[in-house]
Amino acid sequence: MMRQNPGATQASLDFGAILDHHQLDLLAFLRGLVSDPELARDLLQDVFCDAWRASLRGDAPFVAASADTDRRNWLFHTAYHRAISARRHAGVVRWESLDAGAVPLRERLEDPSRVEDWLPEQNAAQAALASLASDDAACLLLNMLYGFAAAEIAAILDLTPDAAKKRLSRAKQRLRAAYLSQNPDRQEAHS
Amino acid sequence: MSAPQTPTTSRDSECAALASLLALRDTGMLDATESARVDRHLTTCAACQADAALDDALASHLRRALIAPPNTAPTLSMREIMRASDTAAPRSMRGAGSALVEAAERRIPHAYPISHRWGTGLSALLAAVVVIVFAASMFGSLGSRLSGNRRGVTPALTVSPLLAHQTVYVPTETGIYALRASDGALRWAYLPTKIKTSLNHTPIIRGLTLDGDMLYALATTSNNFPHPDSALLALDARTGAVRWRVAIPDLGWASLLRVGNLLIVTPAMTAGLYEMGSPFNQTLLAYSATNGQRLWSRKLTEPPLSASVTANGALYTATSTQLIALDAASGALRWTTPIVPSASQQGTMPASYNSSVALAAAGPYVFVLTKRDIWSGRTDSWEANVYEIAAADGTHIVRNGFEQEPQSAAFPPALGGNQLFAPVFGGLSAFSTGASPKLQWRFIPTGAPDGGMAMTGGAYVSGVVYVTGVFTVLDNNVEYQRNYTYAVRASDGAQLWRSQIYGDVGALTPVVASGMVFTPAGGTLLALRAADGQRLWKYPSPGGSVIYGVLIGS
Repeated sequence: MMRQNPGATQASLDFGAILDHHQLDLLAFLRGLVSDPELARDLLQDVFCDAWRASLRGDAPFVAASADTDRRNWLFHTAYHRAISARRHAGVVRWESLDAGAVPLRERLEDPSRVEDWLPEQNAAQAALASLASDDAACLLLNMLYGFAAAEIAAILDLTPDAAKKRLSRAKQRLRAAYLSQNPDRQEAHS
Repeated sequence: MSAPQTPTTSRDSECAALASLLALRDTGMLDATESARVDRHLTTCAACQADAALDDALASHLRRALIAPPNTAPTLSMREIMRASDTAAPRSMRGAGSALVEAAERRIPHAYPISHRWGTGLSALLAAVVVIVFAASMFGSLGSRLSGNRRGVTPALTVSPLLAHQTVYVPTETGIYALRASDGALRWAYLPTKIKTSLNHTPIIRGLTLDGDMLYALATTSNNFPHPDSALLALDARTGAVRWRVAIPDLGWASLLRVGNLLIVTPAMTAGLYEMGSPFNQTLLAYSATNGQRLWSRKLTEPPLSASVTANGALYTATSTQLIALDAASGALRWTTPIVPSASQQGTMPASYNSSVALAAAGPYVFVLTKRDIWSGRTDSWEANVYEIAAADGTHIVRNGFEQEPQSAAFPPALGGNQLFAPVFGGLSAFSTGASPKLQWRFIPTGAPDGGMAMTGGAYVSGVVYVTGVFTVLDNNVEYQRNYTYAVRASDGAQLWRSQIYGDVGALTPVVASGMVFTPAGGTLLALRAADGQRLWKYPSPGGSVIYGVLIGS
């Protein structure tokens, strides 16, 4: 289990600090993309496992010389691709209750202290977000949650800054449309 | 100075022209000119004001829903990352106390993230050949019974291209996962979601069996003390869609066996903590595989202790003291025979009942592996007995007894090439079968603990037995403790290869199909190449849920 490798030579990189610094932001991003909190946590672990292996190999940006921004972009980039893969898999996963009316496991596993998660408005917003394509949702989350600029979003999603800007604009309009279409009563009020 | 303009409520051409800019308001992506234009328009257009307000509200809702409150504790620790990464930090990067953590982790089944699965590059061929092998964890099934004990054989050289058409069904404590055999890709998952007690939160899929396009599963749906419930399910093997479902009240831990068109449910006394003290179910049930109708039931005098096995139209099951033969079609009793030795060595005090029993049956014989507690002076240990019993009438042909067994659990013996492979005698032992069965060899891996190795049942294919060590072995004499799946030559017990797995005490009997060895271990299923033990892919069950067996089908 103990493998000596190039990572051992750059012990000055504090991976634990990187983990602590970025994990909650990444978890929020992943929860926005995959909806299921359990799955988001699994994906979060995957992302940091990838990062840890890169760190052990001495790969950038997990070297002392790299900027923290590069590491952050790398983590979000990896999280995005992990989430896309998970969303594809979600199409083949079937959930079924053996007990009519049972509360789904995923909902039971929600942190009960996060009572605001149950508020209808937030659920409606999340449902609208879940209906968007992965790239639209990712653009929205990166900007709405963290205020990332077009260039940063572009770096994370493999786009040009102009494309990132256009995608964000379209995504916001689609989120609004999805929200209103899923909530006809609010549509009336809105119009 | 002009009076403020009253906003219009209808959209016009400027609204359409500014829609893309309006969406970028407050994102920091508009330049000053664009911002001014948007702001100017918003003062005059109520419809766009409503859009902007909705954008703000949605952003606010999403932030509140997704972003953790201040001072929220981190979700992941470095320890979890290192453990899940299948590696550990170099010593220079570890802090004090890591040795203790490491020592503790050696005994914990590792949980893995969904990780890289590299395909084997196999192309799809035609033909669908049904290969059904089921290795049950607690009760297990028989090993493969392919004939041909050849001296000096080596494992098959290649994995079969049929694997691309084959599916690995994985029953777990949260549901069933169907994976493509060639690369472990998820084909479908069936995740029932009933929750009734705080002791065990999800239905547990205890048994799985396959018949063509139908997959049958036995699920514990409630662990309510003292009356657990189960359900028998029929699913479409291609999609996971439920075809029918039958509730089985008052049934907890149990196993499932298909005999022709019958589904046999055998309750088991092997109890988890949550079942302690509950009245044990001691009735075997037979259901129609076509529609789930119950066809017969047979109450035994004691609760069964083993899974049932079948051969030649008979059904065999064991209690703590007896082997029982039933007619599979009707459930009628054929015979019973005791399986607790009456003799014991001087100075020992053996228990009058077995603590665990596992069965195998083929041709004219039923093979029984029992484990019981035995006191000798001040020491308390396990005694194993391997019986060969005539299937026709229950006559005992031979019993081999072994003391100082390192583990109480009994995994089912495997059969192949006129040999019986039983995980006893401090490792895996091979016996000849027939009228005069004899011990042929025993395999104890290098580095096994002083008390001997505890092993899962074996899987026999073409002159090779595949088996997994339940305990870790000391590797390189000093530093490492690992557990492995081994390929052992059936003719002489020589080790052909070993491959590290991570299940430790959670390891189950391997299953072999089409040149691959599938090793369930804790929450991970490993696929190894039968030829050399090279790991081809691994499937960590989501959430690290415990895997209860493997079933291969086309």
